[in-house]
Amino acid sequence: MIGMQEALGLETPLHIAALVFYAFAAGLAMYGVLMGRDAAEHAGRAAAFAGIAVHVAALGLRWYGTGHGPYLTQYEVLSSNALAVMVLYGLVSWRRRHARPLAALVYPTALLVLGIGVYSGPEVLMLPPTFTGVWLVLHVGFYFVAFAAAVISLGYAIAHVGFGLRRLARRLSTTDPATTDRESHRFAGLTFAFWGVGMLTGAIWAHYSWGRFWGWDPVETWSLVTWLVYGIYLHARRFYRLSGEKAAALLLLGFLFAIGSLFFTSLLTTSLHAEYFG
Amino acid sequence: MRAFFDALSSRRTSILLMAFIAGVGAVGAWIPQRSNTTTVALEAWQAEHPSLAGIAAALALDAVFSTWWFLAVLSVFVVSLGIATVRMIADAARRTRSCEASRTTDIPGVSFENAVDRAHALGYSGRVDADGTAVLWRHRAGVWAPAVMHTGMVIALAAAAASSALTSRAVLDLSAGEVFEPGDAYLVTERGAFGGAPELGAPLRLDGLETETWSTGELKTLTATLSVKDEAGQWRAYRSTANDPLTVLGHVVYVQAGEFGDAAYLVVTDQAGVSHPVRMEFLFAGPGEVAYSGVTIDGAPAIDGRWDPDGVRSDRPLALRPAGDDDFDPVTLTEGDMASIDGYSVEFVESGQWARLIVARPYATRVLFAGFGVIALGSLMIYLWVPRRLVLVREGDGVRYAWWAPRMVQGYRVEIDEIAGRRRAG
Repeated sequence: MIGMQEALGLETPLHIAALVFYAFAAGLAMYGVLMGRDAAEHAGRAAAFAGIAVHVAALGLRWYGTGHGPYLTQYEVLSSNALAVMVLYGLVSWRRRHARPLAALVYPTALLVLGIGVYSGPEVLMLPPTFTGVWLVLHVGFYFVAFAAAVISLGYAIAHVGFGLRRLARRLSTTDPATTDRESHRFAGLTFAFWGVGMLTGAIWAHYSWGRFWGWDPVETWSLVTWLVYGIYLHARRFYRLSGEKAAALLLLGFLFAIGSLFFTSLLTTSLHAEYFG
Repeated sequence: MRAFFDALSSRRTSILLMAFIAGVGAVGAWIPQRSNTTTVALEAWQAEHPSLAGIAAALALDAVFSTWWFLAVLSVFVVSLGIATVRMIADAARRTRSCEASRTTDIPGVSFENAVDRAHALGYSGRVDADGTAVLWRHRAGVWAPAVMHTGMVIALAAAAASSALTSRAVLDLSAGEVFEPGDAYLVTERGAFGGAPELGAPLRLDGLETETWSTGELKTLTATLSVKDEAGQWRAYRSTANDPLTVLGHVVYVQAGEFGDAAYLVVTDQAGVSHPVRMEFLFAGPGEVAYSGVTIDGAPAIDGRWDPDGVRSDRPLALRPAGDDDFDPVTLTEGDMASIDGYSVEFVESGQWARLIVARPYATRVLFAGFGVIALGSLMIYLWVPRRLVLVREGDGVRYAWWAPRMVQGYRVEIDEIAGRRRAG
């Protein structure tokens, strides 16, 4: 059995190894998809699965070494989000062949997120007394899944419309447009659902920690705004048949709000949440 | 009147209201709000952004979530949502009961039995009548999903409104061993529009605080032992941690991780001979760390203090000097010592712990959390159970169909192509 310090000594090299695997996966997937090389796509998928295995080990050691889940500091938060993206996409593409070309978008996204996390440095922050309890774990866990669903949803939207890059869209969309459009819509719905539940469990955690369930804190407000933007997108799609580039543009806006909410607002504004992302 | 309610609960109105609330939220997230920013931080922001601060002050954007117009829009949103939800429930009930198929389309070259088999293979199930009519569903319960989610939102918003109007919170300050009696004054009280001040109804005593720190010296756990005197006059002790508040007589007492520490109890006698018993509060600083504080006499800063119980002079943990005088060599004291600081005669009577607790009388929180649960259930139902209803009607050797799905219609229409044999299953 290794000690906590040894675990922390091992997790950083493993994180870097995961980064290298993801870099290979991203490069191979982009080459394979854009050049139509199946062998490269397969190799990219294998590299991604190897990366996930190493990444899980790295975060497991980090968890053991710090004594808390990987949801404090940019290093842990970004790493967990990158893993959530890779795992959810892995599960989705396992069963759905039409999701496989999206690897050319999803792997680079996970690589970027993990890269920024690793670059931010692995220093350990210990959990303050209020950062405990099942509601906190649910709160951050649902946001990880919501972010992963948002990445996949945007991937499908790009595959559907290409945002002006017709060749890219053609390469990414190996199925009929109706399917990519439906999956984009479905994963946006899952983003909305998981984001909402993440926000609500956060409210319950806040109630037990600070005696209030909502305080218009900048991060929670931004999170609400993100949820509303996804809500507007879903209503517009369902009732006004919003589709194509307009729908994709609104989804992109929601995704940008999500990125801002998860990774930027706590850095730029004074917030109770600033502690977690320091 | 009906037209008014139709307009109020229309989808266009709801999208506009959501967009408006999102816009206000975005503004309120970027402009520091008085409710959750210190005065110093707010003034610093105003100095950095003078033109924006002027606009924010004129439009009350620095307290935007409590402006009358935002609350009015929020109220309209709740009413709109409520009406729309009632209509959704009625619509879901009608959809699940009805098996109308007034407009059917022919599926050329496919028999009724074939179509039913293909539908079953796609996961559809339901009633197949001997007269040649089949009413088949996939995820029938999903018809209720939007109604469930929106009902949860109505419950949560109504509970949140009730909670905001009725809940009151107060901050009370206790030294270890001190008793807060019913009727004693709180430091600060926040009341909802219809809420009275919290009233514990029984004496509360802070018995002590226990801390655990990480190896880095940061605070890991904080546990307060609080005693409440029962009706028989007996003290009953309870333990409360930073994330596990104490519920007593309908009130919740929260221990705050950033609002506790050691205190030096002093008697400061001024040049006029007037004695001032004061508590010099030091915030918890961790093992080996030094904490600083100060006391004011008659509203003016008088003495600065340093608390260093683990230092080389741990036998004399308190160091005092005149307020703001960096050149003064501090006087170190132990309990019972006297000192003269800048004309004040100071007696260090004793040291002890202190904590600032929050006492809240919450209303409707359980209903609120139940609403959250309903929202969560409805949200997941919406996107995991997309309902589809297929009515197949035998016509001679052929079959006609009517198909309905409430959302992602284009995406699921491929199922009809599979049933019609125009597209291979899978």
